[in-house]
Amino acid sequence: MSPSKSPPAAGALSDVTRSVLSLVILIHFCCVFVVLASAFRRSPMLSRLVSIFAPYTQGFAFDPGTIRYYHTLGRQVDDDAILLVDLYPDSESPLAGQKLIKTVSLPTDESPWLESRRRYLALARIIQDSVPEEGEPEPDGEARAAEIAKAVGRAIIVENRLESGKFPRAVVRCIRRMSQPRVLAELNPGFPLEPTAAAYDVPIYAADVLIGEDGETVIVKQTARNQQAPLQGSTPPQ
Amino acid sequence: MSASCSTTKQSSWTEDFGRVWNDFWFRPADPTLVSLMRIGVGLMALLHLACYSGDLVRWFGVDGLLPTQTVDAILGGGSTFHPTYLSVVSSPATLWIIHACGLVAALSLTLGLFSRSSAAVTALATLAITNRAPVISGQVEPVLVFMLLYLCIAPAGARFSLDALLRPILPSQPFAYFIHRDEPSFLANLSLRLMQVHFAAVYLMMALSKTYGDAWWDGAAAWQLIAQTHSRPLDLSALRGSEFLLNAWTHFIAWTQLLFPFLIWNRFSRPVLLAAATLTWISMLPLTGLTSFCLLMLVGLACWSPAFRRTSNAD
Repeated sequence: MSPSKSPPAAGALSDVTRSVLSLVILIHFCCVFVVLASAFRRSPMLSRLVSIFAPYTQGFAFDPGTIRYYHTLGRQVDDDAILLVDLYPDSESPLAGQKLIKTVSLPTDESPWLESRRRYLALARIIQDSVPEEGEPEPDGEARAAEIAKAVGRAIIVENRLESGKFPRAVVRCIRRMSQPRVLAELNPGFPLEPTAAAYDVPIYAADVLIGEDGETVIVKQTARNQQAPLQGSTPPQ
Repeated sequence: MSASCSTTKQSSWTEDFGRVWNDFWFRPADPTLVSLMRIGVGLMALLHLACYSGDLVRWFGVDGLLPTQTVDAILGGGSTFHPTYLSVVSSPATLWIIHACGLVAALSLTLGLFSRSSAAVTALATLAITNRAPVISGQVEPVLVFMLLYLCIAPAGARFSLDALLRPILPSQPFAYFIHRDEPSFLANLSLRLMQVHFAAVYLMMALSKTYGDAWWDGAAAWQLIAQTHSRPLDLSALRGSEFLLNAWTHFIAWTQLLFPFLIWNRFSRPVLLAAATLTWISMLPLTGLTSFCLLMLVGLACWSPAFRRTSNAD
C-alpha cells in the first residue's frame, strides 16, 4: 500500500477521547474475562468478583453462567433428557384407575437442527442437574425441579383443557436416555441394541400436578418408592 | 547518567506500548468487513428470533412453560440481574407485537437499513428474550449478543446495504447519523477489535471447560455426542468402529479451541488457525445440531479475515 493511500493515523482522535475509550475497553474486558474465565468453576474470589460485575455482565448476557460450552464431559448428567407429561381426565380423583388421555412430549417434533428443540431439552436438563442420580443433590435442587415441573404441568394442563371446561390432571416426568457405549460388546447380555429402545430410558423425576378449584397449581412429587411427599409451599391433593 | 538512560528506555517502552495500543484499537479501518459481518450477524439474529416464533406464547405467556416467577425461583429469587421488558408482558398480542418488532429490526439489519439503529434494536430484542429465560439459553445467545452490541458502534451500513443505496438520495440532515459514509473509520476497527478479543476469550473459556472432564482427554467426546439420540441431528453411529477417527475428531476440536486464542494473533499461524476453526465448526454441526451457534462462530471467524488486515497494519 502506497503511503498516500494509507489510512489516517490514530491521531484523528484526541488524546482525551482515546484515553477515555481505552479505560472503558479495559474495564469492559476485565469484567468479560473474569466471567468467562470462571464459567465452569469459580473460586470464592472469582465468585465475589462475578457478583460485583453481575449487573453489567448478566444484564448484557456476557456471563455464560451454566451454559455447557463443553457440550459433554461423558458424565451421566450429560446424557439427553426429555420431559413427558401424562394427562388424566379427573383432577379431583386419585390417579389409580384413571385412563390416560394422552402423553405430551417436550420436545415434540421440532427439528433437531433448530434452537427450538434445544430449549425443551435445556428445560429437562435443569431438572436432571437439580436431582442427579449420582452424587449429592444441590441444596435447593428439589425445589428447582418442582418449580419447573409445576410450570410445565400447568402449561400443558391449560393447553389441553377438557371439553367439559375442567382441567385434566398431569404427571410430569423427566426421563434420561442413557447413551449407548461405542463398543456394543460392553452392553449387558440381553440389552437391546437399538439406542432408542425403552430400556435406555431412565426416569429421574416425576410429580403429580393439578390445578385446584381456586386456580392454584398443586404439585406432589412421586418418590422412587411411590410415596408422596408434599413439597414446601405446596398443598397435598385431596 | 545511568538514571537518565533508564528513564529514556522506560519512556521509549511506554511510548512504544502506547503506539501499539492506539494502532490496535483506534487506527481507522475500511468498513467493508463490518458491512459483510452485519449481513452474517443479521441473518443469524433473524434465525434466532424466528426460532421463537413457533412457541413464543407457549414459553412466555401467562400460563406458559416459564412464567416470570418460575424463572426467578430457579435463578435464586432475585439474586441475579436479568432485566427485560418481557417480564411485564404476558398477553399474546403484546408478545407478538414486540417479537415482530425484533424480527423487523433483524431483517433491517441484514438489509442494512438504518444499520446502527437496527443493530441496537436487534440487540435489545435478543437481550430481552435471553434475559427473560436465561435458564434455557444456549451457546448462541451470549455470542450473538456481543456481536450485535459491537456492531452498534460500527459503520456497518457503509457498504452492501440499503443505507448505501439511499445515501445519495436522502438529505444529509437529519439522516447524517443514520446513514454511514463509505470511508475508513476508527469505529470500524474498534468494533472488529472488540469482536476479536471477545472471541479469543470465548475460545479460551470453551477450551478450559473441556479440560475438566475425561471425555475430551480420552477422545470419547465425539462418540458421546453422537450417542445422544434426542439432540443429535444425524445418526452417525456407523462410525462406532472407527475409534481412531472419533479420537482424532475429539482432539482436533479441543486443541483448535485451546490454541486459537493464542496463535490467532500471529500472522503466520493465523491462516492455519482459521482453517482449523472453520473445520471445527463445520464438523460440530452434525455432532451437536447447534446450527445457529456453529454458523455464528463461522461468521465470527470473518473478523480475522485478510480483508481486515489489508486496511489495518496493526498486526
